Amino acid sequence: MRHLLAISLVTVREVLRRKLQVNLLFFGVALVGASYLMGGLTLGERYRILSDLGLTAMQLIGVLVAVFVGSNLVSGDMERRVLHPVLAKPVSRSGYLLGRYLGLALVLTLNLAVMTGLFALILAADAGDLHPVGRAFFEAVALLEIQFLVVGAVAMLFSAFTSTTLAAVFTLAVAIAGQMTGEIRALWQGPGTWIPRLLWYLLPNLSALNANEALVYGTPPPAQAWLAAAYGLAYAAAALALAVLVFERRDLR
Amino acid sequence: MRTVRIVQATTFAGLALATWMLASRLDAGRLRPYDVGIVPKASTLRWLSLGHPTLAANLLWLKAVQYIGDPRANERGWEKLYPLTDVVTDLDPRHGYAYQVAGTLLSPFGHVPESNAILEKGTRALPDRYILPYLRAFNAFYYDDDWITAGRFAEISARSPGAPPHVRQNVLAYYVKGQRAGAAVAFLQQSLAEARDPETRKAVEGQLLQAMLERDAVRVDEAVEKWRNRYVIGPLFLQQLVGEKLLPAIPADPHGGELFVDEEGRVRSTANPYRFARPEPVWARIPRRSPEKEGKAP
Repeated sequence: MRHLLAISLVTVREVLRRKLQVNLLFFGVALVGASYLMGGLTLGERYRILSDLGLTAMQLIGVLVAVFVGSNLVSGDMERRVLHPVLAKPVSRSGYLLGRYLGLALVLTLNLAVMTGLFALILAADAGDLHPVGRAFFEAVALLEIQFLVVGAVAMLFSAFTSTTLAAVFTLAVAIAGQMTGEIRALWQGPGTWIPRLLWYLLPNLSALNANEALVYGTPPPAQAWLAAAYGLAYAAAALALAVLVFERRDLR
Repeated sequence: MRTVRIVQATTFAGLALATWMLASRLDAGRLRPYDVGIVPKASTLRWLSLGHPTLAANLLWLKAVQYIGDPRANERGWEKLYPLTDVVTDLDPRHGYAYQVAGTLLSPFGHVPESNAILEKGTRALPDRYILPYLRAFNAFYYDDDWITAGRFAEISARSPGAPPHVRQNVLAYYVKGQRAGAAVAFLQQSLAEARDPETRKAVEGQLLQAMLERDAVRVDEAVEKWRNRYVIGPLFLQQLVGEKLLPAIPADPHGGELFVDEEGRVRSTANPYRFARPEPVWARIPRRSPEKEGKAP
């Protein structure tokens, strides 16, 4: 457990030093800010534009951070040859991988906290009070966090057996496809319906973790959203378990 | 080393200048933010939105707002507004303001069927937004001269939560002008049964009495008209209509007074002489518009 925490804290420090992550965070803050300006273009119901664009900007940046940082963690260490000295210490491969993931999760949470703080400020300033920053707001943010954790776990999985570039490409593809599995399953009629069904189970159903509509209308997410949250956490755990399984068997020479 | 730097800086400056010159020659006039080219299909946008249909709806709505705000909108026409808001509301059926804005803007510019379509779609999708059937009722009486449809939609509006009390009066007026005072009576009787506070009950009771008067007075008006056709002048007493078998009996005045025939030949109550005016023909209500594009409005 001590090793796990040490590796995760090293990961946080390492990621915070990287320019990519800082750039993405800056871009995210700028996007959330831009949603405030976009809100001014509408005719009535400014909050609708502000909340929808702001939340999507946070999602976009959070997913990109999870993809690019997550896919670089394990494979990057292997490419830079820093993995061997770590594993030469009394640290198991699974402990190393889980520590890296824990660090990634902390970074993603930190990112989300910064963007959430700014987003809350913008919404409150626009409304003139704190009513937009209520239950629906925090529930939407919580679902985003789970979405990031899922994408991060998928990135770790790919990072465990392939190169950084390929892991980033694969994770990004899964993150995009994960937003479409629900639509594919609903729209695919006729022969071959087992294909969308298979994709539905294989790919993470990220669209179930979107709470834009609930935030726009200030309503609590449907009961299904909490089921989706449990599903997201289970999916992330399963992806990590698979990553550990693959990484344990990987030839590191 | 210094020479290399000078060459690099000169190259950069030259390229920057060339880019600036090319940019200045681009036809910026062609980039019109108000223009709408192809309106995408809702199903396509739903796919492209990657699980964010409300975001796609909101971005398209911003486009629709630019289209609405075009200073040359009247010369350009409003053909794209209905397709735009139809797609917006397909993607986000709860986008109440889109229905409302499109419904309000389309009808004065000759797109009454589209206005009706978007308002009816909104009425179905958002039964708690009273303004949508209210506007649909307005279209029906103002543009289509269809008082019965107006009454039907005003009734839907009056039953919606948050509808102001005056909508009930609209229901009464529309049904009466559409020769369906009986429907107004039925609606107001139900409203009276559902009224909880004394102020509402009092208001509904007054409207119900008026609806009953209108329902009964119309039959007497018709009998008076037949009498006039027969004898040129009107009857001296209403009982003469019964004697002539034009009416089985003179209905009681719901207001508690007596019914009488005024100088115009309309039956009124001595207790409350108010009667709804007869509907004007549609051409008398709509002002003429000068621009040709707007001339399509009925």
